[in-house]
Amino acid sequence: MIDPREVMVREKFAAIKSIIPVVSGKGGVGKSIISTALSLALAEKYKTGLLDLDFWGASDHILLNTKNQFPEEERGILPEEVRGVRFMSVAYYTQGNPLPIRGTEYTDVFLELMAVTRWDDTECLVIDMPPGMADPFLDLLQYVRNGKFLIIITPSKLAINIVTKTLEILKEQDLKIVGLMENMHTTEHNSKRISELTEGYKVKYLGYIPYYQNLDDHMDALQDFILTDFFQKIKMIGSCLEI
Amino acid sequence: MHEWSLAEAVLKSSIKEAKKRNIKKLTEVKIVLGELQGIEEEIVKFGLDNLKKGTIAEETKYIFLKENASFQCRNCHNIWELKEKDLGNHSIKESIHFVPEVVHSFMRCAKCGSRDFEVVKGRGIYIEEISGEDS
Repeated sequence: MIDPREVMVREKFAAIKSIIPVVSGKGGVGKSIISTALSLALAEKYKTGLLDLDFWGASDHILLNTKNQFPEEERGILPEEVRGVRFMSVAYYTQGNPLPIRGTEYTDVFLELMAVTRWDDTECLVIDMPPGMADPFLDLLQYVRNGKFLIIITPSKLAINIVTKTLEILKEQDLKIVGLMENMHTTEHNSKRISELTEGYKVKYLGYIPYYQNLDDHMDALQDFILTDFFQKIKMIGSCLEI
Repeated sequence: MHEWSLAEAVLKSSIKEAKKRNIKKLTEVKIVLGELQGIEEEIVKFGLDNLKKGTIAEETKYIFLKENASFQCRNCHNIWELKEKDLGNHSIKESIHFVPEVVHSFMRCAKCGSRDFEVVKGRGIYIEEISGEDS
C-alpha cells in the first residue's frame, strides 16, 4: 500500500521559503495567540500563511474571526485569506464539534490537510503547534526539515522545565531555532533561569511580552486586536526574525 | 476540486515508487477509494489523464477499486458498517469528504455512544499496486 499524500506533503513544505513552527512543549504559554499575531504582523511584509496544527484545541480561527464555512476549492483547497493571512485549520471541517482523535488519526488529518492545501507562492508559513511531544511534534519533525523553530516560554518553573526538553530534541535533530520568546512576563522572576537556558542551548533571546490582563477584551475584532500593545510587541519582535 | 490534488498525489507517488523499483514505464496503477471520503472517481481519473502527459505514466491504465467503510468501537468493541444516514446532512458529508477523521466529530458508537472508534477500512484513497516495464 502506498500513501499518495506523503510525497505531496514533503513537496509542499519544501517549497515554502520560511516555515516558523511555534512550539514550546508546554501548554497554556500563548502559542496560539502569538502564532496568530505573528502571522498578521508578517503578512504586512510577506505573503504569509498560518496553519493551525492544534487539531484538539484549534483556536486561531476564533481570533481571526473566519467567515467561510469551507475554504474555496480550486485544484486543491485555497486557504481563506484574513487580513492578508492565508489560513488553514481543521476547524473549518469540525463545524464547532469536538474532535476526539488518537495519534495515528492526528497524522491522517495532518497529511490530508497538507496534501490538498494550496499555499502557492506563500513566502512564510507560521505553524501553531499543540503542546507535547507526541504525534503532532513527531510528524512535524518528520515532514518539516526546513523549519525555523520559534520557542515560547513563560517565566514559570514548570514551563522552563518542559521547554528545556523541547530544546534538547530540536538541538539533537540539528534543527534551526530562530529564537526564544518569553510570554506573560511580570517580574524578573526566573529570568536568570531563562537566560541560563538560552545561553546553555545557544538560542537567541528575542525579548519578552508583558502579561496583559485585559487582552481578552480585545479579541472580538481584529482591528481592535492589532492596536493592542501585545500585538505591537509581537510585531516588533517579528520584524527582527530572519525570514 | 480537491480531487485534483489527490490525483496529483497519486501520479507523483506512483512515479516515485516506479523509479524506486527501476520501472521505466508504468502500465497499471490500482487505486482504492474508501467509501467514507466519497471521492469522485471520474474527477480523479480526469485529473490523472491530464496530469500524466509527458511522464512515464503516460500510457498507464488506472483501475479504481471501491472499499466499503467499517468501524470498530475502541470502548465496547462494537463493529458496524457505514450507512448513508450516519453521515447526516450534506454539509457533514462535505466535511468528511475533505478530512475523513472529522467523522469523530459527527458520529458515535450506536451501542455505547463513544466517539473513540477506529475506521477499520474504507477511509480514503491509497494506491494498492503499481506495475510496469523496466525497459
